[in-house]
Amino acid sequence: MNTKQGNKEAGVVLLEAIIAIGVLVAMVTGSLLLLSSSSRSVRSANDRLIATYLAQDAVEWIRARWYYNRQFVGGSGWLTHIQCPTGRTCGLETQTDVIVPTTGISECTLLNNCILRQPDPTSPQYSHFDPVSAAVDTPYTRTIVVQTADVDGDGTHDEAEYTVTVSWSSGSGTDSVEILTTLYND
Amino acid sequence: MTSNHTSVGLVERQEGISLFIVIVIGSIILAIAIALAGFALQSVGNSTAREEAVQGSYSAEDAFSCVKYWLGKDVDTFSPDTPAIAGGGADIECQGVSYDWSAVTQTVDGAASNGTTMSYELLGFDFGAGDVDAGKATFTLPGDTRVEVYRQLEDSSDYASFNGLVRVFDRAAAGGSREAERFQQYNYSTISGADFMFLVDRSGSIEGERTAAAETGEWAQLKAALSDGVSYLRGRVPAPYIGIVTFGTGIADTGRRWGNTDVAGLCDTANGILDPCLLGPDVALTDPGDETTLGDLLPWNSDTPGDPTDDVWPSTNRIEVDAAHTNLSLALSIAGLEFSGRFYPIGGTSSDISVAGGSPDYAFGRLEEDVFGDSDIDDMNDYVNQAVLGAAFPTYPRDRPDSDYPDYMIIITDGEPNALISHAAKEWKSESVNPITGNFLATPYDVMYPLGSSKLFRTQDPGSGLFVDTGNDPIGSGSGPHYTFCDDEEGAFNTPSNYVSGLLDGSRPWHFPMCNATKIRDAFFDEGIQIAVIAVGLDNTTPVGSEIEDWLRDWIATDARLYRVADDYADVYDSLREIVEVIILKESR
Repeated sequence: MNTKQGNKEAGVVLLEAIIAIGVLVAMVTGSLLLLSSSSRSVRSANDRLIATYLAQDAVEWIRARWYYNRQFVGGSGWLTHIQCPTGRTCGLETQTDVIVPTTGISECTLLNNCILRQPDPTSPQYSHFDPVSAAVDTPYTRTIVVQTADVDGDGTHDEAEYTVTVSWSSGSGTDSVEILTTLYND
Repeated sequence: MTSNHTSVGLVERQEGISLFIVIVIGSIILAIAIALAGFALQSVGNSTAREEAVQGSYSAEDAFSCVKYWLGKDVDTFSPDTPAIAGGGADIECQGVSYDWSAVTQTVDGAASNGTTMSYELLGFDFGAGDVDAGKATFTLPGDTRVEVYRQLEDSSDYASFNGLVRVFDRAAAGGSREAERFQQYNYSTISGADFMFLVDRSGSIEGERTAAAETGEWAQLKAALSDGVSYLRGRVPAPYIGIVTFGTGIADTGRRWGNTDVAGLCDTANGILDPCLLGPDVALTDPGDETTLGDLLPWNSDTPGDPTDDVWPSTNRIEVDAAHTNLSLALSIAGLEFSGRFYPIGGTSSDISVAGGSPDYAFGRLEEDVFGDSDIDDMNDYVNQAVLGAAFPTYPRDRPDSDYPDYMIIITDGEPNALISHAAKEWKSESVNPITGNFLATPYDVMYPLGSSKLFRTQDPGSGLFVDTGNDPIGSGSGPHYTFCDDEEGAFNTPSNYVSGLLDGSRPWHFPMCNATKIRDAFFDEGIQIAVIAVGLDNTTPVGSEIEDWLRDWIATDARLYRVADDYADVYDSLREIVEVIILKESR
């Protein structure tokens, strides 16, 4: 009687242990998967945030130069330094003076294929032309496409739509942020 | 038994405890994992929301830019009664979408429909086709950005400006994890496609070197501000035509001198009064081709048109820009005649319409005469006589049609232009007038009016509107007779020609048109000419400054935007922009 009772109890304990281990494994595995997924999401969110800033950086440079052109260049020069040949993909070195830029908007072939670089991983600056030898390519590629239009039919371009795209490699492929802005020769 | 019972109870209590502990620990781990996942999810949401907010912000600004662009081309763009856009196919086009006013759904005091088709809600009385009504135009740009343009009835002026409200709403495109909405509201005023004539004070009160190669001080600042202003205006679409008249005290240093020799005997160079026939605008507003050379401000006689770098000292051909007193009257005349499609200055017509009587006729005098006479500005000198003067004088076709291109004079002065009452090389002081009879004691041009701010727009006789002191001067020095404003009353006694007919040498072309400045102003207004003032360094906290400001404000008699006070000459450019275009961001969220 006592032996049977002991065996039964041992069996219950064993079963309980197995269930407990199973539950624990399931919970830990689920948690790990969740954490892993969360980690990827946080990284993705961080990448998206940086990409948004990088896209905004280019848009602000373009708008600043547009403002300068309207004020001090005028006329047909309203797209000076912020024009990209039709059908081409360009980039922009924003670490340059808006008023006297070294390049302005240029084709990607002249700008490290539009891949942004950093002098070191902790640097907040992104550039196509970082002179530091230790500079490394970042995952981010920033491209700009410009479409101009003659909206009033006078034979000259008076609207320019800029599509600034920052793309980067993610676990699931390539992700990107896109900002559009339209400028006028007003 | 007792032992057995105890053993069973212990086993029963132990059953499930490991499972319980595991579940507790597992739950804690899971809770932490879920919390971290929630944080991650929130981070993803935040980053997406930020991306959408940035995009929404630019979309809203782009939408406002679209409105600005079309208002810059035609201030009536968003009024369905006046849909014509010069040179345009569809009524407006933004970001690849055309909006056709012919398809507009107009409602009266009702809700306007949205969509890519322009809609219009009348917010007041419908004045009918061709008039500007108060209303709200609504359309939607790609990316779900809704635009509302409000035009207010009281701002439907006839000088091609828009005053109103622009609201833009941008909603993030569908598919985002959360929706971002951007709302911006602007008060916006603009002038479109105007013809501008700058009247620039270069008198002695404008400090700085202007006779050497390197101009300095206020004068240099003024020229830089003008250059920037012209560049800004030329960048607008359609680019305005721009003219510049600089003014000093006398006729000799107002406007551009084309030469120093008499032409065909038409002009009077006697008595030290330099020949007004040799004057013209510094930059001819309406001369064909000159609109492409406007970067060359205040040019020299011999320079290359359009080349601002050839003004190199020394040059025998340099336009005189020496320190001088002011003659805003003459500058107003030149600019007004330019805007009226007239030719200034040229003699050769009948002399009996001169205010001086019997003296050579000048366009300025005729302008004054037209104000009081039975003719109008169209009767004034035109460029028919250009043939007499020869090829050295450019032709002056009329300025562009004012219905499409309104005329704006922009006076830039330090607030002390002392010659709205004078059109002569010499000036007066109170001692030259008998305070009892009001007659001049001596030939008035033998004495000089004392310089000082209190002289602006003042006259010495409230009865005649001219030059007679009547009491203590509360502003000027001493306790002598004070000055009063021209009364501007129309009547035989008050007209300058009557008042001075017995006092002036008939052979000299005296003119006092701006003593009747209000009449002149009204004549300009009738011609559709608007007058703006940029008063530089005017301290309106002083009695003199306040008085000058009140007079200027009253004289231009239009909206407050056309009167600006600049702290110094470096701020002239900003003041100019405030006249042409005002954007006030009222709300953004």
